[in-house]
Amino acid sequence: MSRAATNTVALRWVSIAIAGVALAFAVGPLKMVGDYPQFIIASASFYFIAVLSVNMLAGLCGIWSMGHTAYIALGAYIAANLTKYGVPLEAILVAAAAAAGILGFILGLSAGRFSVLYFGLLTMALALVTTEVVSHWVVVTGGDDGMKVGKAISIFLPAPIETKNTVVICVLLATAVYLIGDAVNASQFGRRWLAVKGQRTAAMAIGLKPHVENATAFGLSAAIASSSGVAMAFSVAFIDPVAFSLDASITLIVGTVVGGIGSSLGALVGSGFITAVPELARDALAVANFVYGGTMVVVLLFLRQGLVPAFRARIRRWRGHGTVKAGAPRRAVDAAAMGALVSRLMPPARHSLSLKNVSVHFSGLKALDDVSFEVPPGTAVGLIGPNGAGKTSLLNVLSGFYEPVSATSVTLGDVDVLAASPSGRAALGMGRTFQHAELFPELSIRDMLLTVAGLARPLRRANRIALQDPVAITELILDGLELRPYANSLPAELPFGIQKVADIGRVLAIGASVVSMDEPFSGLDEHERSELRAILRGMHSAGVSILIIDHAVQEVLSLADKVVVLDFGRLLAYGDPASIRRDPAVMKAYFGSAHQVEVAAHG
Amino acid sequence: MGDFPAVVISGIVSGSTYALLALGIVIIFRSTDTVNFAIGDTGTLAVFVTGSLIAAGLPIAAGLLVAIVLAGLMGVATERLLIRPLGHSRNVLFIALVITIGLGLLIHAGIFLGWGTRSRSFPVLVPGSANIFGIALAWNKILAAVIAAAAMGAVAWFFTKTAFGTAMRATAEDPGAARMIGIDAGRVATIAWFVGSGMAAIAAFFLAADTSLNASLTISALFRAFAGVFLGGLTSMAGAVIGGFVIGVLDNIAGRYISANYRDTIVFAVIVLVLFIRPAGVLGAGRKERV
Amino acid sequence: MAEAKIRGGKIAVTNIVHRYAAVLALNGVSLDVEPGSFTTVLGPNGAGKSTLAQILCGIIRPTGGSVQVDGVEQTKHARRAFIEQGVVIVPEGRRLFGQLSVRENLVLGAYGARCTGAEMNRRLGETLALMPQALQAGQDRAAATLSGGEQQMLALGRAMMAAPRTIVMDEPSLGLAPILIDKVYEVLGQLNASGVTVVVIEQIAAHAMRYSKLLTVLDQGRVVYCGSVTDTAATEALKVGYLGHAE
Repeated sequence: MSRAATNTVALRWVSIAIAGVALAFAVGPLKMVGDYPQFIIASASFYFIAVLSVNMLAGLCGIWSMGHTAYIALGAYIAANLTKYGVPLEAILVAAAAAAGILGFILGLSAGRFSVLYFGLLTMALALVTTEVVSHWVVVTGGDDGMKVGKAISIFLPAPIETKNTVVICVLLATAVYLIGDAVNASQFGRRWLAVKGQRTAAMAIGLKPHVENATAFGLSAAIASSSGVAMAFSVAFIDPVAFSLDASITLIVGTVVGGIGSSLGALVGSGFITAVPELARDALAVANFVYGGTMVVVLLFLRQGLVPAFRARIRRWRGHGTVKAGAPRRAVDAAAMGALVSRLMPPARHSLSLKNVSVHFSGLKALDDVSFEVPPGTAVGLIGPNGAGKTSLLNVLSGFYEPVSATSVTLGDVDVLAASPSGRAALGMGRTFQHAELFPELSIRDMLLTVAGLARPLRRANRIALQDPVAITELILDGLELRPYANSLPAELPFGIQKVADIGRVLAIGASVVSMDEPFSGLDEHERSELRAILRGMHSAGVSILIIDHAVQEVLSLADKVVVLDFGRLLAYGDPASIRRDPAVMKAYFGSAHQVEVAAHG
Repeated sequence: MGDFPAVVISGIVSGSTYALLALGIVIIFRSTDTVNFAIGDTGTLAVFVTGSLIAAGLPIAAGLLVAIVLAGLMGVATERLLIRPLGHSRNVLFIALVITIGLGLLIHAGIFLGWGTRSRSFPVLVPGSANIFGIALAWNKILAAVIAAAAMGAVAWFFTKTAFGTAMRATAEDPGAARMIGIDAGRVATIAWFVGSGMAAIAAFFLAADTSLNASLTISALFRAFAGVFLGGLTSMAGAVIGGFVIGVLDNIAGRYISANYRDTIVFAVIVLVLFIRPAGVLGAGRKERV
Repeated sequence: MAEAKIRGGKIAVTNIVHRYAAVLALNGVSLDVEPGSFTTVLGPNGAGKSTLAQILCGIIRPTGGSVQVDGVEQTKHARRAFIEQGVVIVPEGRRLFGQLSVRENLVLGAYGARCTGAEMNRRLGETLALMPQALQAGQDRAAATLSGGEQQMLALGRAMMAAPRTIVMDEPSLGLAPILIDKVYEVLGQLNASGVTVVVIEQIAAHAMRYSKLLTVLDQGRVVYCGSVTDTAATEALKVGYLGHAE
């Protein structure tokens, strides 16, 4: 990010902080508003914290938790119980956050096993179980009758805080949480979580471990939710378990849906909505629910992403960002420039990638049958064969997405590749591009490169690459691949050819010296193909090992040093392009009968 | 052990309600990939309207048919107006669920606004009670179980023996291929939602007579139905029905031998355990994507 | 033997341009499928073959260009119209209903035709007679339990249940052993002999060339050859398309 942009962000954060502190004191000790508005502001604050916790998880991870009230309850009851022993509120906040964070982390680890739907249902079930636990564990929770909360003690203040002044705690906490939300969104964490959310497999290919990322996000979200419970406990001075019912959980979802995911502002709007509606409806609970239900239905039908994102999207379109940048004049990358770029980012490959006797079976079908070949360092090996021949399976074995049913070995030098998880392959210096590019839908090209470059620091250090700074690397790749005009665009706004170039940029940012490429030529027009040829030649000249599968046989034959031909999962031929071209067995596999082979060979 | 048979039988009778709701949920889910949280409220609203009609002179038996048709039509309207416009992209499954949650809130609140908050009584079709193994079981409840069984049997016949039912199962499995064959996905969706919602109306009709008619009539039963659905697997109709009955028996056993206070706890705990350990359910077919 | 009655209509696609996502799948493709013909559309992956197959059957509406059946321009909701014209597709990957039985899959094949019970039984009997023994004996087996070759035959049978006048078969040889591919093509040949128009989409020329009379070669969304299979130009086009010019 440029210096000016960084300054704008810092200014925004400072002004929010000042506004928050000012509000806290205006409403609290300075008593500038009456009792009732004070209560509303306090409620709005702890609702905001709660909605933000749900919102953040949904926005950054695509995980919708309908059971976050469990963590709010945890915070509230920890506060209520610890004040009995005179524990100061700062310690209570830390204890609640730690407890909730750990529980959230553990739950988050399993999020990857489920689809969004099932996980939502699971969290809903957990909310129900929480209400039961609260109801039965009377010693700790006071059961259905609720529990009184003592006065808050702060290590900074001489006397306990009066209940009417607890609004200060609520507003200060809300301000802090708002800033945390924004900070996370802008940070490496936020970007990593968005990557996992958008494209799980591509995320693994760059070295992210989805279940760990989900768990960390969940833990953070749960910790934030717990502080909402603490704030609520002190503000109301009494815990009524109805605040943790399934209805309350659903209300948080309403707030998240209406305000929109993806920003602290959305959480603010949404929490404002769920605070205001019951107040405006006064005692008519039915009216409140009617408004909730109706608004949610309307928003989901017409403003799918929620109020704040819909508004932002409109602004984005108005500013001209929203459309595919077709026809923008762009210089194609040439081979020499590519070679220079690659040399600065990746060391030449030093080891051979060797596959021995790899077999992959799916429900009776032999996708790969005892395949062995080598990719010597710095060579380009092409992999061709009719559809269903097993090429994609082979690439997926290399990426770790498939496990071979049997293999003597798959090694890079003397490192056992199969022993590494899919997330661990990037650290070995293995990279991969995808047939459909599979960029991260919610990350701009620059943010994507930044994220990947940040993740690959250890690899670069191990390879003693001179250029280490992720920002510098990102800018270098943007320039070297002529992607600068698209740096702030999202993948959906780019033509397919550019997406594929960005995919290659991603591999460069990893610093991989052994790159598998899955149908790089597919979907490209002649102009784009010619650029891709130059890019591949540049990579080749810089000493990168390339394994390329493609149906554009002529492209592969003209680029590769060696060609592997697969047919029905078995290795049919392995040799240099010229001999493959003339090989009768290859002709037969493609064309069939002997007659055709004759004609093709001599025609 | 004296009243164990009675507890079990009573559990099976209660379970018939949960099985009905569970079947409705699964029919709708398999045909349109939507978990319809408003299904219980749809049945409740239909029964409220029917109750007013009965108070105005409609014969009670006719009321059952009216309730089924009303709920069916509401279900069709829901699918057409709220679910179909959402399209088919990746996150739609969850958004559809949330929209039905919103709809449930709307209906629930609407009932309060239209009929007030006080519970009302609802007439039984058959008065009196029978003595089964020493426990008094209302005839109306037994009738409910019989009608539920008949309804589920009719649905089973429809899905396996008729061409359209087979077409619906095909659509549930692969909507794209079904369309290629010439199956009208819209018709399938409409019928599925009609039938599913109709089942909920039957369940609500007898529940109202058994407890009392109020806006939260089906909530408790719906949780148990969901427990049954997860037990049987979200994609298995037979599994949902069996699951509903199993939960009914479990619920009764827990209430009788452990504590009435813990009935809900045990049901919810079952849901959590099943979702964690065997998300596809005991009988469910493996879905292609991550469950 | 009575002369085969050609029943299908002529399907003509002109200047088809089709995009989805950001990809240009077809870039100005024109093709005439004459009634009673046996055409093969060949080309590597990414050439646009499946897209073309689905456009020929009315499953996809192209983003540009015209589609005519028997001279009648097809506009929206075309699939219904194509089904009425007897155009049936055996999709890539077969797309059988795995949880339904063999018999149920076949019955569904005739679903679009809405025939009477007697007619259904007749068709079922005829189709089953052409199926491998394993399918005839195991009509209640779930389709997912069948082997690849059996599934392909079942998919073809399902198509035949619609009494099609035109069959479009998308990559029948995918994942099949050569001997099974032969069987499939045999049935296709018989169908063609009885008057059904056959269009086969393939990546591999081998089998198709033996049965087909006409050949269209697609490359990168364009037609690079269209004509008779026996023409030497055909082989040349294939060679160039697949292996590039000799250097």
